[in-house]
Formats: sequence, C-alpha cells, structure tokens
Amino acid sequence: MTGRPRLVIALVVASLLAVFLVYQGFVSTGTLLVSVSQLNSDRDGAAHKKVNLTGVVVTASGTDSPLRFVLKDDATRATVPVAYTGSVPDAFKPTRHVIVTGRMQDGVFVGEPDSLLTKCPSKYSSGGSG
Amino acid sequence: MTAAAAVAAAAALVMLAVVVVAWPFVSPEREQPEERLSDEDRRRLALAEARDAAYASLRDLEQDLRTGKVTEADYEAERDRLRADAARVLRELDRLR
Amino acid sequence: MTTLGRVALYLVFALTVYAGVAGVLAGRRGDRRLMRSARNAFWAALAATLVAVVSVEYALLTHDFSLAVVAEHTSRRLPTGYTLSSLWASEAGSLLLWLAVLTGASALALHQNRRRNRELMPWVAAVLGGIATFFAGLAAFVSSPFAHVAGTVPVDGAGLDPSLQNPYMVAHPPMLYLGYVTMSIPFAFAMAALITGRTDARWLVSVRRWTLVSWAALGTGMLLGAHWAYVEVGWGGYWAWDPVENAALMPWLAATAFLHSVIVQEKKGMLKVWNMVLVSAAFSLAVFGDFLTRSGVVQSVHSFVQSPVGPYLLGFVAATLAVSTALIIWRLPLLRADHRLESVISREATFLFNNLLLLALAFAVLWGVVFPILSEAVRGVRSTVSAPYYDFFLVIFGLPLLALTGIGPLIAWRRASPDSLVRTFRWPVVSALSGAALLWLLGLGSSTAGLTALSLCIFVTVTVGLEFARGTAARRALAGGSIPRALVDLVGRNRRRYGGYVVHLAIVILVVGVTASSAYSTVREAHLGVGQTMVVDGYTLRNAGVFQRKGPNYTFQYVRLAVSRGGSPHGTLEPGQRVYDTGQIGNEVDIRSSVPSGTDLYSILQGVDRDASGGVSVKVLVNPAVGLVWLAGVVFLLGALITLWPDPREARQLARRYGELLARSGA
Repeated sequence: MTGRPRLVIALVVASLLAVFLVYQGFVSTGTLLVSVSQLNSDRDGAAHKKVNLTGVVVTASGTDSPLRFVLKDDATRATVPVAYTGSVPDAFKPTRHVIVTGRMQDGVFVGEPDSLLTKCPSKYSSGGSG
Repeated sequence: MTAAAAVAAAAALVMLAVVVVAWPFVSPEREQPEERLSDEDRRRLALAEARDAAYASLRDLEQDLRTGKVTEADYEAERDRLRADAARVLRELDRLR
Repeated sequence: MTTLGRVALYLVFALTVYAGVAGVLAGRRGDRRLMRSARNAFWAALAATLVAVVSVEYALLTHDFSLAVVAEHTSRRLPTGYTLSSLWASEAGSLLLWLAVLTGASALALHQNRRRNRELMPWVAAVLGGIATFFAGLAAFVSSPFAHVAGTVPVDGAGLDPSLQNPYMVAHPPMLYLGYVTMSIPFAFAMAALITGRTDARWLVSVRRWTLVSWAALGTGMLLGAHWAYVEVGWGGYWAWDPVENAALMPWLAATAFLHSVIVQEKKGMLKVWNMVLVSAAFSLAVFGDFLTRSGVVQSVHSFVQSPVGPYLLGFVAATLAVSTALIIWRLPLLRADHRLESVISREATFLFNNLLLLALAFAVLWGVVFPILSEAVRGVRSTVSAPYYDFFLVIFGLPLLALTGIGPLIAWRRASPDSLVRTFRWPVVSALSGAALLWLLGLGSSTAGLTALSLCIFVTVTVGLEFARGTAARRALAGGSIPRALVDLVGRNRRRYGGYVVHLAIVILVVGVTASSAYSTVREAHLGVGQTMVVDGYTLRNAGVFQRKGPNYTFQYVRLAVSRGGSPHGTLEPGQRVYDTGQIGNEVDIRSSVPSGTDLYSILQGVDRDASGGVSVKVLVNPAVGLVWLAGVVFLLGALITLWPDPREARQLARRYGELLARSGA
C-alpha cells in the first residue's frame, strides 16, 4: 500500500503500542508476589505495601470469621500470622499452598476479602499433598 | 491378563502396524510418481484464482447493490474496474494456453 | 495389560517418527507409495494410541493402584463415570488424550486429502509427523501414564478432588484439547504450502473446516470452564483471568483473526503474510497454552507442581516459532499481495484493523501472563497482574473490535464512498445513539464502558438484522418465494457469511451478558442470626435455619435462605458445605436463575457460627443477565455449525479450478 493508507495504519499501530506504554507508566505496575521470608525481611518494601503473599498453611482456626491461620515459607522456617475475611476455597487446610492478597498491620498480615486462593492440589500433581 | 497373553497381544499389535505401513510397497498396484506443477502451471493456477476471485467479486458487488450497500454510481465504477481486471486475467490465461 | 499399553506407546513413537521421515522422503521424491505408507502409519499410530488408552482405562476400572495415575486421582469409592474420565485428570493421562486426538485428526486430515493437494500432502504428513513424534516422545519417555507409583502400592487411591467431580469438568478438558490439537492441521498445511512454494489459496480452503473446528472447540471449552467456575468454584464470577484461562484465550484470539483474515486472501489476494503469521501464532499459542497449564511456571489456582514436561514444551514452542519464521521469510517473495490497500475506509482495511486489534489483545494477555516470570528474572521479586489489568485492555481493544463487527460486513470493498457510508450506517448509528440515550435514562450510565458496550451491541445487532432483512428481500426480488424460503436459500447459498453473522450475534449476546453481570451486579455480605434478613437489590433473604443431610460420600451442612421479592415468596436457596468421607471439604453455592431475564440470585455460605445458634455468614450476589453468557455459547455453536456445513457448489467450483490444471498436465 502507498501513501495515506500506509500512514493511517502506522498511526493505528503506534497508538496500540502507546496504549501499553500509558498503562505501564500511569495506571499500574502490578502487585508483588512475595514469600513469607521475603515479607519478613521486608524485601522490596514488602512489609509496607499491598502484596500477594504465598506460603504453606500450618495451622488454621476452623470456620471463624475472621479466619486466622499461620503461613510458613516454602523453603525456610519463617512464619507469619494471617487474619482473613471472605470466601475460603474448598481446598484450604493445613499443608496446602495458598496465595492471599493484603498488607502487614501490627505484625499480622491482614488479607483482603475474597483474595485467598489455593492451588488445585489433585490435578497434575506428583503427590497427594499438592 | 497374563504375561504371556500380554506379550502375544503386543507382538500382534506391532506386526499389524508393520503390515499396514509396508502395504503400499508390497501391494501389486503400479504406482506412478507424483505429479508436480511446473512454474507455468503455477502461473496458470494463480490466474485461475484471480479470475474466480474477480467473478466472485462481481457477484458480491451485485448483491451489495441489491442490498443497498453501494450507490448506483459506485456500483458502476467498481463493476467496470472488476470487469477490466477479469478481462486482463482472461487474456493472460489465453496467452498461456 | 499395562505391558501391552507400554509397548503400544513405544510403537506410537516409532510410527510417528516413521511417518515424519516418510513424509519428507515422499515430498522430495514424489513417491506416492511412501505417501500412502506415511498415511497408513498415522492410522496405525491412532490404533496403538487407542490400545494404550484402553490399557489405562482398564487399570483405572480395576483400581490398579500400582500405577501412579490411578493411585493419585481415583479411589475405590469414586463413581465409575468419574473413574473413566480421570484419564485426563492426571498429567500423563491427559498427554495420552492429546496424543489420541492428534493421531486421529492427522489420520483424518490425510485421508480427506488423499486425492487432493497432492503436492502439499507429503509435507503436511512430515510436519504432523514431527508434532506427533514430539508428543509421543513425551508420553512414552518423559511423562508416561504407565509410570509406577513411588514407594509401596497403596490400598486405596487419593481420590478425585470433589470440585472436579462435576460433568462440566469431565467435558472441559477434552473439548479444549480438541481445540488445541486440531490447530496443528492448519499449521501443517501452512508450512507445507511454504515448503513447496504453493502459496496459492488452495491450502486455505482445505483447512477452513479444521480451523473452524479448533476455534469452536476452544470457545466452547472456555465457556464450559467458565460455567464450572461459576457453579463449582463459587465466588460469584465466571472468569478470573487465571493464566490457565488465558492459555485458551490467546490461541482463540489468534484463530479468530485468522478465520477473518483468510477471507481477504481468498477474495482479494491480500494479507498473505498476515495469514501465515496468524496460523503460526495460533498453533504456537496453543502449545504454549498447554505449557502454561502443565508447567506450574506461573502461579495459578490451577497451578500444578513443576512438571518434567514443561521445559520440553517451551523448547517445542521456540522451535516452532523459529521454523515458521524462517519459512515465512524464505518465501516472502511468493507472498506478495495481488492488490494494494487503497483506502482505510474499506472492508479490506477493517479486516486489517481486526487483525491488529485481536493480536494486540492477545499480546496484552500474553504479557500479563509472562510478566510475573520476567519481573522475577529481572528484579528477584515477582510482580503479578490481576483482573484490573486485563479488564483495561479488554475494554480498550474489545470495544473497537465490537464496533468493527458491525462496520466490517456493511462497508464496501476497495473504497467506500461517503454516500454509501451514510446509506448503510444511517439506521444502525441512529439506533445505537438512541439506544444509548435510553439506557442512560434507565440509569445504566453508571459505567461508561458498560454503556458504550451496550450501545455498540445495539449497533451490531441492527447491522446483522439489516443484512438478513435486505439479503432476504434481494433473494425474493430475484427468485420469488416466501420469506422463510428466501431466508433459508440465502443462508444456504452463503453459509460462511450468514453463519458468521449468527456467531456475531452470539458475541453480542455474550457482551451483553458479561457487561450486565459485571458492570451492573450487586454484592452484599452479612451475618444473619436465625430469622434475620438481608436485602440485596430488591430481594429479601431470611435465615430459616441450618440443617444437615447425607449424600453418597459426603455430609452436607447448609443454611436455608427463604427468598422473597416485593413481599411475595420466591423460593429458597440452600448454600452450604460438603464434608466428604475422605475429609475434603467442598463449598456448594446455590443459584436461582430467573429464566426470562437471565438474572441470577447467587448465594455463598461463608461460615456457620460455632456456637450452633444457627447464625451464618453469607454472601449474596445479584448477577443481571448472566444467563445470556451461557445462551451465547449455544448460539455460537449454532453459527459455527452453519458455517461448517459443506457447500456442494463450492466443492464443484474448486474441482473445476484445480482439476483443469491437472487434466492439462496429463496426470
């Protein structure tokens, strides 16, 4: 193609790319995903902002509201207490890997409502404990 | 299933596969080599496609006129252009024959 | 039996290697016998794969817990149906399913084309052989369904996760696999066309149905998964932008672009390079999607333990991209367009914009999925993106796409004059604007994106309606007959176009359903003692007590919520929790769907008070028009079927065009 159509197409492509840049620059840069040890060591300022926390459930308080449980790091012995309100996935129980969004407040990680996710344990895992 | 039966079944499966795969080589039919398109044939094919595309476009254009997507003036201009396209393609096809 | 299965799997590998090599040799020498042999090899590979499948099913049904796939995903008390379908609950088993579909589809495609496309077929066999060899190799050597369970053989298996014991979860993986795997066929044809230099449109026509099948299967698979998430996972929504959901969305977007873009190549001989790129992208994204689902590389609710198969899949995707890029660049001179783009106000241009927007959206989704991995590699900490990121791009790329859905079919080819634009778009634009005003008056202006989307839906619906109406009128003017007769004739003569319009209507229904249920839904959480009530969007719910009942392998504890609206009773909702005999807990939501409006009253039990007073914590949502999302799936399938239906007239024309050539060369 020549002339004007080519120019218009180029402008369209440029604006599509610009959309990405605008988003990255102004709207959001994503939420950090941190492990328990990264949270405790305040890696990247994790202890002061909203993060996605991942770990293994150690103990859980049953069906209270707010749900209280202790999350342990996958690799180290670091733990953190968590307080969470909202829907609890079926697979939630001690020994499950979970992700919860929230922030640290006075030594307790307060989870945002309905942000608790467990990893589907039985599908494609090489062990029942998932 | 006993071990012997399993081995027998496996052997049968493998043999069946070999037969199926080798069949075209041992069957008595005479096979000619695959035909290939020469460059001239490919040119003819491209022209035949262009011819059919032009005819299809003309039909689409008529349908567009009937359903009111193009004005009379636009229709006539485009129709003439498409007819010229088709004529050109047909002339080239003739030349190649 | 497992010995037989193991041998069968090795046999599949050997056969696929042979098929690939035979294909290459047949292509280079023009040897028809080698070609027939390669084709037979695929049939044999299919048979051997099925033997392996039967072996695994046998092991599943006889509870042979010495096999890992049986021990980890079934138990003695699992209902037989789910025992059978647990074949695709395990990684190795699902790989076997993939292989079965692949060998079957390849054999079928080669069989369909045994008298056509003679120059292409050996190379199609070669490419398919290569792909099948890879997956057969994975199944035979890396992740075998016949692998032994680690340690001692357990007495009973671990059972199937309760949330997977659901008809939708039985259908969803095979449907998705059908979609992913059948994308290999168009890809193989495209590569064969590049290798042989036969870049005329013949391959496009041959693969049209396969592409449609793949695309329809992916779309249906996604909707099945969404419906499962809605009724089973139970958070009130149906799409979470989970990486595994995105894994199916990305190839579907590329396939959508490809399906549209080929129309331009067939009619105008343009966008040839685009089509090669799009089909390669669709196939690569399909395998990449499989990689995402299996490898556990990205955090996800579906995330599985790091599987050994992951790195191989990623390597395969990289190799596919490298090879297809090299082939396209090599054949670039043959992919020159027959015509130039003359105006941006033309149908050709709308297809080009369509390609750009769909690819941009696919790229945005891809970026969102891989961003966590990249950020971790660069910064050491993972940064994840969630729904707001995806929603942003969905709106910003999706709304123009929706507009194009209406503009494209009506705008003229080559160059649309201002006169014709006014004539064709007057009514759709007026309807959309007045519709927008009306919706705004009805209070739907709370969401700008929502209002825009709904107005565009009106625009598209009117354009589709006009197409059908005007087309029928034109048909009647030409051939007479009643309106229904003319309509049937119209659709019959142009299945692709009118089937496509039906699919566009399905998209409109989907957009309305999605917009209404996300932009205009209401959510309320409350703690209710016995007898207490809560109000959600005009519905009143009263706690009528907590009860228990026994199921086949679980105990179900639930709260009975009495629903009323405007004072009159409206039935009950009983959301609760199942405690399975294995100790697993499953949350069961209760949904009341209103048929005329498609609005759902959705209830979730979040907790029961420990003091056994009967007090509960519940969350209730009103999702307007969510039923339309499922209706859209049905209409979508109907449209796809119409488009898939064979057209004898077209077959005759193709035979004429390609047949006369062969007659001339004396073959």
